[in-house]
Amino acid sequence: MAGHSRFKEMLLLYHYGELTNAERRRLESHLTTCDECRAELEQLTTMQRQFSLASQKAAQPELIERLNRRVMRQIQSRPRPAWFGRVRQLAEDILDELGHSLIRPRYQLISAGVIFLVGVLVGKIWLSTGLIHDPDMLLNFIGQQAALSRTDQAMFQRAVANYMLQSGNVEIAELVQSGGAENAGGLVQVNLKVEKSFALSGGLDDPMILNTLRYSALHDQDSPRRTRAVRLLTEAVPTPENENTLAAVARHDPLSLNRQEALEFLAKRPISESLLQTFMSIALRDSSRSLRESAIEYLGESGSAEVVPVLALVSAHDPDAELRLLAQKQLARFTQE
Amino acid sequence: MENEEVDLIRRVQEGQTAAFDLIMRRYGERVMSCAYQFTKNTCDAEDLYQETFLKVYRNIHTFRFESEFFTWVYRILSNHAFNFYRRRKRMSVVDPGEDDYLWETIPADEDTLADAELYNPSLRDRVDRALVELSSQQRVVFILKHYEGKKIKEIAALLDCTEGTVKRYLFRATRKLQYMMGENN
Repeated sequence: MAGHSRFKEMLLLYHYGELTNAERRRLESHLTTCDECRAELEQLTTMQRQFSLASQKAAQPELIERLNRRVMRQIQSRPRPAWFGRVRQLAEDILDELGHSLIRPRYQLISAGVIFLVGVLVGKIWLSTGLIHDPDMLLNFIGQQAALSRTDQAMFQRAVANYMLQSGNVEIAELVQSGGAENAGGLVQVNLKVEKSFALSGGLDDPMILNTLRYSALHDQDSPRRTRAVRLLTEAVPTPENENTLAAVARHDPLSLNRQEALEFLAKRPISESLLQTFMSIALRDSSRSLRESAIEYLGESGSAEVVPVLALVSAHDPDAELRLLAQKQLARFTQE
Repeated sequence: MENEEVDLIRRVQEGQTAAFDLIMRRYGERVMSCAYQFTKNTCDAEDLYQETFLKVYRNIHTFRFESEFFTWVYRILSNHAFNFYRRRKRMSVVDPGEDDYLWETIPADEDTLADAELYNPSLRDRVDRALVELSSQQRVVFILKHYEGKKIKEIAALLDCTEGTVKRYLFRATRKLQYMMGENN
């Protein structure tokens, strides 16, 4: 049938009532003679019913209140001068608009062209330097410079590693702690794999090592190595960056062991708003029951009024009776006080 | 638009930050439902909710009362959702069901209840998993069309793209969903 495929394309628009009267009449006349199109239309109707039956959900008011408080805190904590706000907004709008435009098919070709031209330009500059054996060419280059002392070479390697970490284009090959795994004072060696590997050594107070550990704790696909990175971070001197990384680990790491380790570290830190947010999030939704218990207990001990709605939510609605009971106990502490 | 709503928006435009809390209370539930619909994941829905309201707050001075306020908010929300996963460089996942108690299931209306023979407890799970297989653009377009009942022209205006683009996303989304639901069956 010559126009059959055209009718198949029209079926969806017909199903959603988007055809013109003339198109609709044409399709309806086709449907009287085409079993295949009728079957497809029936399939669309069934799918619509399935999706309609399964779709409706509304958030509990407590969830909305918690989010509203968070938004208000962000709004109130960052009063900016009007001009700054306008410039920032303008920049965001331009980026949004640009990002949005570039995904349109007609611009994708242009984007590909621009990327190609930039690539050619960068490649030309790259070739003109004579340092073409990428990606470890820079490392080789640094290693071959007789004028550089060992310290200078180490410094350059660090700079390269830092750049690689920032660009996200690096794989951590190994974490080695000298003097035994539990020796917190020992040097930590981080083997970074670019195409050829190279290694950095430093103590747990070395910013580059810490940077690498934070990267590994958040992004490493190798679970045992990620666990080691988390453990080493809990042993390092606490800094806001480490704390933020471990908070992210506690909330998102797929391994409960890592979340547990991070949570235990965070529980010993002075109470702050962001820590409370982390513990509230875990108390509400972690897949590990014991972690949720720890978080609920922490919230009860925190004495902060902010956690009351979360404890109330768990105590009223959580499917786990023991967690409900625990949350009720923690809530009772507030009423006693 | 109600006087009270106009008054709230004007107060925020004049710099009364506290009035924004009342705006969020007014629209929070609807925005969160839509955000969940778009992301199928509580954690991402929370992020989308916050990003949307922060953008609403930053841009509220540009609102000229020429449309319904929620339509304007919804435009920001759907635009954000349209680019959500691309911007975050991460895959969407379906909630494993641990957060279910944070949500109430709204009873289906009478028309859909009449189809109850189609329903089984795993249906929502299957539907969610199928939706998550779509790209964020396909999902947003599908949801706007299917659940919100918007016309293709309106979706194009909301997402600031051409009607052809919307149709393309809608076709691809439907094909993929038909395949997924068929496979699940």
